[in-house]
Amino acid sequence: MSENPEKVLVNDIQGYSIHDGPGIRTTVFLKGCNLDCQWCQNPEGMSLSQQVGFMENLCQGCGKCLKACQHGAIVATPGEHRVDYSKCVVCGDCVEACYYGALVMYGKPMTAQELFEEARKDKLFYDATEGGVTISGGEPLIHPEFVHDVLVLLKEDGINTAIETAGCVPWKTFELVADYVDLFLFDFKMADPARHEHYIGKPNDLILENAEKLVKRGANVLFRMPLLKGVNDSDENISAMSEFAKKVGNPHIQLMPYHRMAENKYKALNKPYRCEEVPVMDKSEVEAVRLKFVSHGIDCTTSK
Amino acid sequence: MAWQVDQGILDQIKDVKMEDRLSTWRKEMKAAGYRVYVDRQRLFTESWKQTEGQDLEMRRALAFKNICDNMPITILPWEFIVGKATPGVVGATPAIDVCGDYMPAIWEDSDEMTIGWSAHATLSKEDKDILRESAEIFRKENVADLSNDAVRQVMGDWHDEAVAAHVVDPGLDAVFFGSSSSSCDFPYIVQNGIGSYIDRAKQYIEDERQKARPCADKIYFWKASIICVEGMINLAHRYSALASEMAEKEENLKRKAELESIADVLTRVPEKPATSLQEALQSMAIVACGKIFEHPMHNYPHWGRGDQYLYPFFINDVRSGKITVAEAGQMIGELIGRWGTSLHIMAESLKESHQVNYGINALALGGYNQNHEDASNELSALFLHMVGLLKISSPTVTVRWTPKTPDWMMKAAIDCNMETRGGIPLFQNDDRTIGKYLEAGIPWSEAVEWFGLGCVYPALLTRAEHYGMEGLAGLNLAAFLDMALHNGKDINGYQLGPDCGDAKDFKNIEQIKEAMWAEHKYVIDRTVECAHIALQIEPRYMREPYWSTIAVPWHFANGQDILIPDPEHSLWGFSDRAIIDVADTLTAIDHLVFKEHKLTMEELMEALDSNFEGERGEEIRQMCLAAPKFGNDIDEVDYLVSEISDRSAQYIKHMDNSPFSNFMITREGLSWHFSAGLGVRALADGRKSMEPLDDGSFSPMGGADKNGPTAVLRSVLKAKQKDAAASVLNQKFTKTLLSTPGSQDMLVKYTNAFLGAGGTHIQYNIMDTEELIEAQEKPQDHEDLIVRIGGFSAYFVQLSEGIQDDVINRTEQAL
Repeated sequence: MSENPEKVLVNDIQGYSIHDGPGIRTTVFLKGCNLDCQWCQNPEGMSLSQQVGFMENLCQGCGKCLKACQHGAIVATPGEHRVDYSKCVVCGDCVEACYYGALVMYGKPMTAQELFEEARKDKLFYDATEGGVTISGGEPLIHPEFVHDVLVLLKEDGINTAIETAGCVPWKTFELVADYVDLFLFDFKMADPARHEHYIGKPNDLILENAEKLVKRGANVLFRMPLLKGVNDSDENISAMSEFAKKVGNPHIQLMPYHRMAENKYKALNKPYRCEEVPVMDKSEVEAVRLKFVSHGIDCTTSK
Repeated sequence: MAWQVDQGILDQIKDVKMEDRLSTWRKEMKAAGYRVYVDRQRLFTESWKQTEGQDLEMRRALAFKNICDNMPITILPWEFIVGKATPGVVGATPAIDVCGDYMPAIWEDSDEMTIGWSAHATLSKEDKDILRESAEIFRKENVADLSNDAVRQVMGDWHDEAVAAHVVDPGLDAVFFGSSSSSCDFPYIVQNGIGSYIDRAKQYIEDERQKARPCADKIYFWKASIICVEGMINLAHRYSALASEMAEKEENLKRKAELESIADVLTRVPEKPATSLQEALQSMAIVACGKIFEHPMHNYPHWGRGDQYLYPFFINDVRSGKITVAEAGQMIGELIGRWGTSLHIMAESLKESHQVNYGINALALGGYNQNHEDASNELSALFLHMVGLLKISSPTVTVRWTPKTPDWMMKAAIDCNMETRGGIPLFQNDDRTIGKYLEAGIPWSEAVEWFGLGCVYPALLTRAEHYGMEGLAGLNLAAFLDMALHNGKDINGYQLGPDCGDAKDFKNIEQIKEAMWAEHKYVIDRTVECAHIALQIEPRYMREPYWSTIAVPWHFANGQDILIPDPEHSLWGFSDRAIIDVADTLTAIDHLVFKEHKLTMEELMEALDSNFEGERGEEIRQMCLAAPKFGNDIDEVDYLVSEISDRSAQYIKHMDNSPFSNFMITREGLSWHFSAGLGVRALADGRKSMEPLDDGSFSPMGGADKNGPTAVLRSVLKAKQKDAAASVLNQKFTKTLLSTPGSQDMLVKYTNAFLGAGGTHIQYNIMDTEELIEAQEKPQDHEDLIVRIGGFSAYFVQLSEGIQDDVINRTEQAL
């Protein structure tokens, strides 16, 4: 039982997730991130606050949201229908009024205890498949106490745990949680600090430092690399990343080829989609990259 | 020492391919088109006209033998296991003497007729003349019409109205009326040969004559048995002679040798015990023809536990080097293919609820043996492998899951599922099904031998199953609730049940429930009354001497036709379905009207009666859809499902069915939800009038399960449906995502976890939505696509658009 009253916003609790760690898992997505990757697949996870999203393709044009909103934040003129975020107070009245699920509220406040209870419901399937719970985001480790509490509860219940992190948090956060994490799915995007800063908004020195310490500490770490054509698929980067992975003694990298499934979510948040120009790689291109990693002595796999 | 699976044989099975014999058959079968052969009817009627005034059992036997002796037979160029009910690759055979004038097309000018759901066949003028003559002759002598007459004498038009409104099914015109279900006693037949029936019948007659007062009916019965079995043996000999004749002319040496082997084998089986896998399968192929000659019902022939009774032949032949694993696979594949594509002419009232063209047949694999061990063996794996190669919609393959089912068996099952995609095989919890038999007082030794009857419905070789017979099978619980909200009137406005007050006056959800239970009781009581009447009429006009000989052993040993049920050797089933629709609907009403006061009963009824018409109607429908739904691990709805299933089952189980055993509850699916939906007006769960009900009997409302597949399973495990011997849960997974490494092993573990925790049944459709939409648009390119609809598999492109949409809309579980 966790007494911690802190509530963190949870975007989604996804059951039967079998691609983020071993076995059948439940992946919980916490809200808020301290990086700003241009290709982010979960744009609803970036902000630390609740947000109203609008899925235009589900809208039936019934106009209920217009009547429900007391703040004039729903724009609905012929040819344009969106949420005016400058006026939106995130009260949720429009979401409540929308029966079609076109308006959604991103972020449900939950305590560690509540999240644990929800996440443990599939224990039957975790036990059968050596699966468990994966905490993802956003960046989950910007909520160190909360994540720590959830992890402790899960471990007390004998549930396997994984964390998806981009690693850009103070080392003491890792110190706090590492003993309760069975697997770190550690985002490793590129080796060059300048390019990193260009694409992500921050240099990668802290990330690399944490990665190294984490491996040295004996944690189970899987480097995962979002693979984007023209961004991080150069021979130079592949070589540098390989060298780093070998140097820290964890020569395993899983490729996660970029896809465009998040496009609709950007629209929903009225955010510009910044990866318009990035082409989706076909299977053979991905395989070529994988083989390059392998030629550098990396145990490299492709996700899905 | 514990029995050990032979890994070497399992490895060989994985390499078995479809050889020419099977691929040629597949091509020819698809090219052949649907055809109706009237020979059976012609030969039956020919004999019937000559036997007027004789005993009914004898008349039927003589007509049967006339078919065996004179039916045109063929051995097609690729066949090795011979024996078909019609001369064509595939063909349907009418049975007007059983079903009455059940084919409206014979009276029409057009040459075309629809025989199943969507299969069209042509009829020549000569064919029509033969069928018309039979229709005239049997107009006052068929059990379907005469039972209907009897029911009308007692109950007026009530039963006709109930069937027309899709409140109960099937109607008394159904093809499976006048037939008691079980399966051919193949375990006995392959071991003893059908010639043993003749010897035994003669002895029984002798014994009977020694009695102080011999029973004439029994003696007639055994005489009829002898006539039927002689007919069958003669049929085998005719095939043998044909094979010899063909062998003489055959120039291809390989084929010549095959034909000689066929000719040779058929001099021994089915008369004598089989001594090899070829002989066993050959025996079964001939014996099954007889069942179709006698009563071409839409769900035969069933394999039963094929992997058990055929195992000794298989393993001896393979171990001794007599045949290879691949050769065994081709022979088994040939019979799977033939039985899986047998065509049947369906009665009108069955077409919508079944929606199949090919007959339904079933195969049970694995499960417990007599010693409580898991009986999965190498032959189980070979069956699964061949079904995966053949990719046809029948047989329904049931993996009888036990906690001891080995991983290799589960993997073979999932591999087969990946190949067929559409829910073949399905997984059924052996402890649950056997447990229901044990509760009914049936001993383990009998119960453990259960097998499926084409969906999840279980049957025993030792007891005649009366499910679906005498108009007794399906009850539409959603229609009961709908009637309760409309003063007891059905969708056609007929006063089918009691008037329990105006919907607008209901003050709380309990009053609505009680009104529903009043309709439930009224309709079920009358349905059972109807069945009791039909049951008495049935044997006056219909007998099945052949089936009574080779199916339930007690009937043969006691000289009593299977249509005259014995209290100790018959089982009675009921299927009370649409429980999920009812629970979702009651929950929505409770929330919107009584708890949250968002609507009055008056407003709700107005919206329902206008089928959610207009802006306000649509708004109310959206409120209904947004109410809590089963399949999301929400206690309130899940426990309501449990409450409704338990109460309905308790009533049915405790009805007086004396002198017979109490009714058993089985909630199988078929495409029943589609036809039953036609009898239900708009519901407060957001479903529109006449749209399909929920698929299966345990599947959530289409698209309503929003929390992933494990949440559905948690709901199901909570709701239990504890009284049902079977219930159907369909889950859909995409093929692309199932192709990722390890994901199939995951499905094995997922299945084990669910069934291990008490799940009754689960089956998987594996497909992409895009693939289905494309198949809907370009059916010609997707003729192979099989989908599972609540308990059976069908070709997707042969389904109605409504059902296709239903499959597409079902929440696609992302695996």
